[in-house]
Amino acid sequence: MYLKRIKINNFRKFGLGNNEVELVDAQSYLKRKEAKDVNIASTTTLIVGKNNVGKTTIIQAMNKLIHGENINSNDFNFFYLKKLFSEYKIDNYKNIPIIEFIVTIGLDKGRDDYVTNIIPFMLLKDIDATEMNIIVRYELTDTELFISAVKKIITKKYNESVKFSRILDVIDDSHYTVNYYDKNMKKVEKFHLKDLIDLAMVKANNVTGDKCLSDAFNKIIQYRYEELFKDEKEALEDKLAKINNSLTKDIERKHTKPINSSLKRVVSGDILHVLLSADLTFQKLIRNMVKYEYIEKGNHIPENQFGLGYTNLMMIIADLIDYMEKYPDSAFNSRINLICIEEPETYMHPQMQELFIKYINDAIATLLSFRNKNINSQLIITTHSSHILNSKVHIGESFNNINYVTAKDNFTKVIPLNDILISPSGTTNDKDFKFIKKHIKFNFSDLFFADAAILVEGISEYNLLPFYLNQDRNLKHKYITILNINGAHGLVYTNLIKALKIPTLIITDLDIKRDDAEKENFKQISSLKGRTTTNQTIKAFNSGMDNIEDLANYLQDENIYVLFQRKTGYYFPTSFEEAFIAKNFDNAILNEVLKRIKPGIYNEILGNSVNYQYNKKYSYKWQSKLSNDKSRFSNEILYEMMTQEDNIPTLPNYIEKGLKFLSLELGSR
Amino acid sequence: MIVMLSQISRENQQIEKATIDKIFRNIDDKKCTIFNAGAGAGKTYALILSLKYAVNTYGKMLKEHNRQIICITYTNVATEEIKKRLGNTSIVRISTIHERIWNFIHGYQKELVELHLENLIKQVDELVEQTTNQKEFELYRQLSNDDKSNFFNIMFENKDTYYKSYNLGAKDFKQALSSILGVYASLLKNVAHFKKIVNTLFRIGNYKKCIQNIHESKPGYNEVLYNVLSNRDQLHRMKISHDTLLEYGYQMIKKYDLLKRFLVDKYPFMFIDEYQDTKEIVISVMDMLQQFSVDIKHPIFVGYFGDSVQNIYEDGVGTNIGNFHSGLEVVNKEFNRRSAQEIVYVANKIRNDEIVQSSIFEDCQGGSVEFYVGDERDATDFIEKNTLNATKENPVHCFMLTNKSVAQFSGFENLYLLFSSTQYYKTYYQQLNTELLSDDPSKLGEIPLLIFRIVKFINKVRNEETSITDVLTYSIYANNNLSQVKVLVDLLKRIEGTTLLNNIQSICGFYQSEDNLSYKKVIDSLFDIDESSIVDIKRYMIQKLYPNMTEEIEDDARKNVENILNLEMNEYTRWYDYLTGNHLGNVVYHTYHRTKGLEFDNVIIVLGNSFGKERNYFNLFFKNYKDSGHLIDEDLKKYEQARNLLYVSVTRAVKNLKILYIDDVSGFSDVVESIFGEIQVYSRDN
Repeated sequence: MYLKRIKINNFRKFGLGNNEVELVDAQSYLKRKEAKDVNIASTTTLIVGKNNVGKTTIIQAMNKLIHGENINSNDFNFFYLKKLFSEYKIDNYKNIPIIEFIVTIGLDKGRDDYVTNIIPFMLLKDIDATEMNIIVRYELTDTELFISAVKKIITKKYNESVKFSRILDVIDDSHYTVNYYDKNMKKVEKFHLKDLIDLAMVKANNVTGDKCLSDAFNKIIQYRYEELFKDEKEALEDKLAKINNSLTKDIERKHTKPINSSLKRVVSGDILHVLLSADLTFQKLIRNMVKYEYIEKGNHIPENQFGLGYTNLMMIIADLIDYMEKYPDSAFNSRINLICIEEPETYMHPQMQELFIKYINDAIATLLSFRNKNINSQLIITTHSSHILNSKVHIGESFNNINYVTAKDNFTKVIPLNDILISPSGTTNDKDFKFIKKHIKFNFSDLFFADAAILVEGISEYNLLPFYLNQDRNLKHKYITILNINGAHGLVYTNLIKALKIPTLIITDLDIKRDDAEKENFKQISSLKGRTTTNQTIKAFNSGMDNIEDLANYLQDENIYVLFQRKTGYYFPTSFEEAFIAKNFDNAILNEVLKRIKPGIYNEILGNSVNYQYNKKYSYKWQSKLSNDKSRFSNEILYEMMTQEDNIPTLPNYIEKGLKFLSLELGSR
Repeated sequence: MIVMLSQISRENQQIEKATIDKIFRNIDDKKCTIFNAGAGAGKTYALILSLKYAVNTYGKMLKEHNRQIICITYTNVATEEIKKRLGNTSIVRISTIHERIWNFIHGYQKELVELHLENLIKQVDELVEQTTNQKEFELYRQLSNDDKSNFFNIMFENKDTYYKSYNLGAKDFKQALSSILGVYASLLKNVAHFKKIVNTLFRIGNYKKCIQNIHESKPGYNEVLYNVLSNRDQLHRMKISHDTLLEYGYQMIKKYDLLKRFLVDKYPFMFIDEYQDTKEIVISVMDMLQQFSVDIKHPIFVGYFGDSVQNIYEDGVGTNIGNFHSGLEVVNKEFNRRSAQEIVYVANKIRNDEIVQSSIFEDCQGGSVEFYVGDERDATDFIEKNTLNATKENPVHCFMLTNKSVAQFSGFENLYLLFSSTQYYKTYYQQLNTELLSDDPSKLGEIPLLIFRIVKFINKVRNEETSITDVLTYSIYANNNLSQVKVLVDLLKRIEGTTLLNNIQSICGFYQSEDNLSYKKVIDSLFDIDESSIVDIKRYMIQKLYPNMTEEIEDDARKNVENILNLEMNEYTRWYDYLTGNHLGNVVYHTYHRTKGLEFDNVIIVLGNSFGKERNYFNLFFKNYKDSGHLIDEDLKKYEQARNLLYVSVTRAVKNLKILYIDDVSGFSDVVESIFGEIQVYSRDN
């Protein structure tokens, strides 16, 4: 039994679409169950996305849901409420505001979990089902009280915004009840989700003082003594009593008497005595029992000298131990145990983030083997760390159970990823997919946290684009990741990019096929009639055709724009450098750089004249001659642009157009 | 013309509002009220408005002090309807009277057990009394006291043999028991008497044992349980059913002022729907509470919603409500919100009292009322010809004069005939209407209810859309894993058979063959008799359907019970569909009683002189119509019963009403014409 999916309707920034979080798929669950070693990475749910898109809202929703907390008007999606309220008329209050969650429980084939809590939701035909839905609704406890209060507001002549906020007040004054329904919307009484699902929140950022680790471990040891080693605890308490006894005697003899006789002299008579006695108790002892040290190369290093990151990790593990210890021993489970860790990456250096899931996995595996418990636990981690994402993909060898969270038009969108969705061929065993799983950690996981992406096919674009993005009024505040895909292997990411739905530019080259003679003569091409391209990206997005006679100005597939050089003046440039030169043929910086790296060619092309038009006319020649110095070319240009304020060269038109697309896409957010 | 029933004039709106406001004012003033609304007057509508008014005016205050409003309905169906129309609420508690009374008293177990103990002692006294004066006990009485107790002990030790032999023929029965009985074999002379003696002695024994257990505070004997799904008390098992529940409730409230105090403080507003069919004892409870509330100066409001003319159940309080709860203020409503004007006109004529309804709608014309005279043999043809245009979406509803014809047209005639030929239902013929045909399972007779439970269970198990919790209770599935539940469910799905008997055999077969404790628990609670076996079911059926067994009828009795069990399952399913309102055809058949509270666009009523066992029923109504003032006692009562039933039936129609009278009307044709208009002679040939 496991929590498979949760759908969130009209809660805060969640609307009615793209609101399903896939926690664990059946396949991963089985894999984990049947595996010999404990590997929770495969069933760990990752909720990734940049800040403020709604990752925490998911956890909060689950928390409210499971612990049955009351809701208030802020928990409703305001767009939903606005629409609802606008339908209210004096005598029509048909739809009253509700928040709904659909919780899907996966049932495994082993079927050895107690199903006491899930049976009320099952029909006879579901006896062989592999998943069950529980519909949870927050509904008004007293509909009539709500309606009469709203009616009073509707009949007054408030303007819309006053009306809206007044009705919100009514919601805040109303009481909501959590109701549960089966899939036929039959109400299920006497059920509470917390009987079925337990949610433990492990706090990251829990480093509160110098001794917090010792405190954490002391707490665990105390618990273990009290629950698991009762006899030993009693024996210890007996010992303590003896010690107290003899200590008290000793104190009395050596200290109490002298002190009292001194007191007698100061405060007259027998009025005042002090009684001193030893008071060691189990609790006091345990509180200070354990000293937490780290042994490094034989040296004991005290707790307060560790880095914050390490302490943080240890605190998380200590919390996990605490949780596991308290979980009852049983061969059967009747509950699902969720352990939630929110953004654990704080204070951790990248290497530790990269290994985080492995650490947690090892910790849990050790705990389980030690206690021989059958804990039906699922780990849920929210993160904006690309390293943690990498480690999940790497250790779990899959994109399953990763939920990408993003925001569009004020609505949170959850996009559950899985291998089939992302694999270029739609199957999980082809080479391209293996490549992605390994390759993603080379910056490509940035895609998950970026507002937009630009994929370039050359070093010059890669070097120069950040400068221009920083100049752009609209784009400079956005996080746009630029990835260099040398050659066509960027194409394997197409499905992932589509799944993530982030606006993406692929900046590629027209790569008109030229025969040897044309290459030899640096033939400038002014017409595409009968021409083909050698560029694989264009081919892929151009329905597989290499004929570019009727090629559109740009190609688009969902959120991906493919851009390439268009006619500049009389000719078609076929690379970024060529287009850049053609566009900025008379720019001082450009001419200076060209002259500096290729003084001979510069001379050849321009001679002694100052007719920069020649740069345009011989753009293809420039391209050919620069082909081994692209990196230097772009770095020199960049250097000049950084150090000079005026006469900055502009980007070729096709790229400018691309940036305009991005501006438009991102502007709508 | 099409009847629209949509436009209400401003004037009518205001008049209606004034009536409703009157109730509101009474709620504010805590003036207990009877709201009398003729059929279709929008009684439920007014009830809902009143409830909403109380919620809106006092809701916040009530919530703050954790007080509530009570609304009592006549059936579970009505409870659901009001819940639906009222929306979610934590302030109004809507339920049937039984649920409510149980809720009132179930928390006071110490006092309840005390009351129960008194009742047991009383029952024992009564049974002992029987043994001293009834003729069946003649032989028993001749025994000495020692012999009496010896005899009891022998029978008690051989209980199993007694029960196993119970269904045997007289000869075999005697043979089976005579050796056990030894010197007491002479008591076997008359087997029926013998059984009566032993059954009575066993009951006395059970009750005494229970009394002892209560005194000794044995586990399970410190609380009284209310068994919702059964119509019989099992006093010795501390279980009570509906009637005893009301009695206990009455006694408890009467006895304990603190309970009264609690109830009036907790529930300052009480609304009772369909008061006319509510039992007198319930009205007494309300009266007690209200009087008490006045005495302690926390007056409560009690509102009765109904119509005395629609009193069709004999145990309902009807017009006598004033005798049980005095000082009620009457609010009448004379608008009709249901029917076309033509039907309202006929209804007024039948009612013939101070309430004269008119439709609240402007566009109320266009309905039809047609009255035909024919004979009994015309009914089938009449219904057939007049339902040609009926569809499942727009069905015609036929009210049948006899239960038999309802059963016949609805496809369970055999079942009906077999039950009506049993000794019990021959004696209590009147009960057959509710005990075999009521849509409220709590009103079914003991044996019909047992069979209903079994048929329902089989139907549920065969329907894949059934919730598992509909067939398995919590105690069955708790702490089971899915594989175990699957084994159980798969086993239940294997129950099969073409007749009821086959099915029960199948159920009992698995009970024997499968070593599945959960399954046994399910079946035990399904049958709810001592042993889950066919023999026990048969014995139980014979006991209940033939309470006064004589040797002459023994063979018949056994044969009849066999026949009941041997009926096709399909027939039972049709009966089950009928009871649960699962109408599958274009024509739906009802008994007159079953239509209470409902409304249908198109109605056919088959009417005649007789009703039930009364040969002269409706004809007496018509004959006395013009001069009913001189009627007294039984005659008046009969007259009113006939009038009420006819009124309720006619007022179910919204648009079109056709009546076929299957007896001669010449003795009162003028009255019929004055009520229904022209009399047409029905002829089958046309």
